[in-house]
Amino acid sequence: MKVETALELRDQLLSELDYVAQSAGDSDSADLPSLGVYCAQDSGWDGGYGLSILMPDDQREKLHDWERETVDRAGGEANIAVVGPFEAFDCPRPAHLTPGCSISDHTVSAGTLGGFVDAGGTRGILSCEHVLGGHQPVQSGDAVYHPAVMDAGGSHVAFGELIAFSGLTSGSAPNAVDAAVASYDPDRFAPDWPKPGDAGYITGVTAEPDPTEEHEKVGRSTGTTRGRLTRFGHVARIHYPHLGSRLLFQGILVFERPDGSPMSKPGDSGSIIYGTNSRKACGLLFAGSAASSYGRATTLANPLTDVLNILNVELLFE
Amino acid sequence: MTTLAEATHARDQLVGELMIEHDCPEVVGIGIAKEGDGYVVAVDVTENVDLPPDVDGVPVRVALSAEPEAY
Repeated sequence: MKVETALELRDQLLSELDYVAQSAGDSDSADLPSLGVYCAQDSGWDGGYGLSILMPDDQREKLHDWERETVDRAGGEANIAVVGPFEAFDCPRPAHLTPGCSISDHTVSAGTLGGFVDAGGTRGILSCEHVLGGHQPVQSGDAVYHPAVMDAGGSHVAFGELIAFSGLTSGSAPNAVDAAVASYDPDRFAPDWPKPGDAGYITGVTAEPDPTEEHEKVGRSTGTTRGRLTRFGHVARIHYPHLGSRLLFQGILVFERPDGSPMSKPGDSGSIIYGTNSRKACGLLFAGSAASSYGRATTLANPLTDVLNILNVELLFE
Repeated sequence: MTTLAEATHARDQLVGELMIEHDCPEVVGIGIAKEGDGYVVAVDVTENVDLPPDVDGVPVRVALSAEPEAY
């Protein structure tokens, strides 16, 4: 069958379908078969074109006579596939923000929403400064996006604006935290709180994480992963590619997995780290090192109590 | 058994020597780790560096690590 023939037959059938559906006692045109041109070159097909019929599975019996006649009119050159109902694919909860979801500033980067905070009466979200303010110069009022610009394929939406950040410095004085808070528009975006039993569910904050307890985070890049606190009070120089420099940090919490595999990867910055049993949050993930040839990967977090104190915000739990 | 205060003092000494005064590029982090009932100083290095086995009696543990990067 030529493609023109297939298209002509399709158009004829479409003009007749409403009548067929009414004759079958169903006036809902959403349940009609969809018609088009078949062009797949699978086994048994000669490489030409044919009539394509996508038949709703609950309609096939009702439209049995129509199907047989249609195949005859197509000279047998029809492909029929039985399908379920069509529906538009979409983000399951597009107007919701939840811990672990992808966020960014306007640059082509991506990070993680850690949690929700109260910033002096303004509801906001917590993440890292280099996630929400990776551009230079960083300023309050800069727009923030969900999903992250690099994740959205052009469909990112500004959900709020930067309202506080730690102010990273490359001087000799060590940085305490890499953290930032952005507001969100409550008329357009609703917090999606993790429920008891969900990854990301937390009930409090602790300044003294237990090294014997397993810890967990939910991040944009690696999802839900676990590790253990292996060091604290750590002082390190962290490479910031977008700044082209190494920044000195103190008071870092270091987490590792027993097998040396990564607990996090780039894009997980902003995740909150919490005890899997206690559900007490202790760290804001901001850096890490790959395993590479060294055999062990590390995940670095700023103490959450320091983050909250420096930004003068309160972590919210529901 | 080393106390947390002793380990903190030893860490600060090593940070001063290796990261502030001399800026040894091989040393990428210095912290404190729990070991048994006490504490040790944990030093992350990108390649082997000669370090003392202890600082004022606080054990020094050295581990190879890649350079940390903002995630």
